[in-house]
Amino acid sequence: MIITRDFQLSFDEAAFLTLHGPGLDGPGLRPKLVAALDEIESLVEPAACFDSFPIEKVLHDRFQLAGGVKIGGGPVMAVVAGAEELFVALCTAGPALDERIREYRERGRYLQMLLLDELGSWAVDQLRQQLYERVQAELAERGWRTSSPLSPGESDWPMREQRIIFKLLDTAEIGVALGPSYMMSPLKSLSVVFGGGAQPMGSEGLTNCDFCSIQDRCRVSATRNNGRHTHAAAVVLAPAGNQIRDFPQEKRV
Amino acid sequence: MESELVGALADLKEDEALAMVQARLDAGDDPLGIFDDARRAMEIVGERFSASEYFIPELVYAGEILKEVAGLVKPRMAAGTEQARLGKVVFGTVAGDIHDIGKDIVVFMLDVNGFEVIDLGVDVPIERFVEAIQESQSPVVGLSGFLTLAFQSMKDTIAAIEAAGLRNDVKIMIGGGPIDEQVRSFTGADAFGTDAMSAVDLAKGWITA
Repeated sequence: MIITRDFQLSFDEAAFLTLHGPGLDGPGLRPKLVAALDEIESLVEPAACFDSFPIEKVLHDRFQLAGGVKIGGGPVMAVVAGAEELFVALCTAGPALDERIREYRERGRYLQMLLLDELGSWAVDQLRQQLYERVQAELAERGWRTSSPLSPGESDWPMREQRIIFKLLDTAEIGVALGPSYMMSPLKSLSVVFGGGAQPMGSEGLTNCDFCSIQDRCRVSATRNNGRHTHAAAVVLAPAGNQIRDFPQEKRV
Repeated sequence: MESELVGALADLKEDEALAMVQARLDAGDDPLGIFDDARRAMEIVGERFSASEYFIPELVYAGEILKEVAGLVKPRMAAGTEQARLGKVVFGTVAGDIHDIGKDIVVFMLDVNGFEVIDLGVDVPIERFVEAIQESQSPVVGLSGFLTLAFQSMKDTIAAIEAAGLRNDVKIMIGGGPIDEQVRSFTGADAFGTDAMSAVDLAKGWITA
């Protein structure tokens, strides 16, 4: 399993304003947004763990991975069909953000709570996307393709499959736990799986939005540019020293 | 013509609005009149939200400014002259779900729009909803949930309310995440809300009906 904390988060202000309204750029709200941006820079502690598992068998509705663990359900089989390995990853923005959001809630400061929560969701989605793209780039170097990514709870993939991901990864290494309702703690955490292999797979080039049942009425989906976060005019949030490094320099456990 | 305070509040000019409130209080204006202006401003904010001129951040900001106004005005009000609340609403995120941000925003908006909200929190056991309705005699219940497993929880909670003989005494709204008419029908709720203002509108409609 590889652990990485090397992420460079960027804030796409145009997309965020599209999602949450141009009023955030107004004289009353803009200072609040700027304050939230400043705050989240110090709160987000990005971390991710991931690993790959050879697919040994294709069963009726699941894959059996090396080691015997079975994973499937929802659109997983269709999306990953043809893959040689299943990549399983978990990203988190860390516990400090959750704690600050809780504090604002208790103090009745709902606007700050809302802004930090939205920015936190934005951040952890970036972590997932960046990790997926990194693995995709490395696999491409060896001539491999990647399937579209999927996360439990999206589309028809039941949340309870989160437990399989937590069985495959030692998530305690990055401080993420799974609760009784299959929600992760810290809350701003995301898991993702995707296939890798030399042959074309069931679904390639799509995003999680494409598998979502409420895509047509989702503002988040509407702000994405062909499934990729735009990084133009970005405000870099990464703390000093948090630079992207190549895979070989990441910690393997 | 609406007062300048209504305009300043509706336009989210926080400093200007609070200065106006202070000036009116210092001039001996009736605090209830200031509250009336604040309520009218919140109506305008709601109208602008419905027209997609304002979004959730503006709603919440308006609510926070209103809270500050209340903080200035209430100490000047004679005991017993506080404006009556529109009614009670029991609200919570259903059992098995711990999502709270959306629920908190709705509770906040209900509160600033004049409702007395009994916020039960998150992962609320079915029986706690029943108890809260019995204790508060609230005519409106709001069930929040973001996970798809919340749909069954909502259905079970509504079934328990019915089993307790309370179903005809309450109107129940649901909301959160992927909830739509299909989910409403599945759960047995009376309506679903797509955002904080729709929850306020539903509650107002039911209580004033």
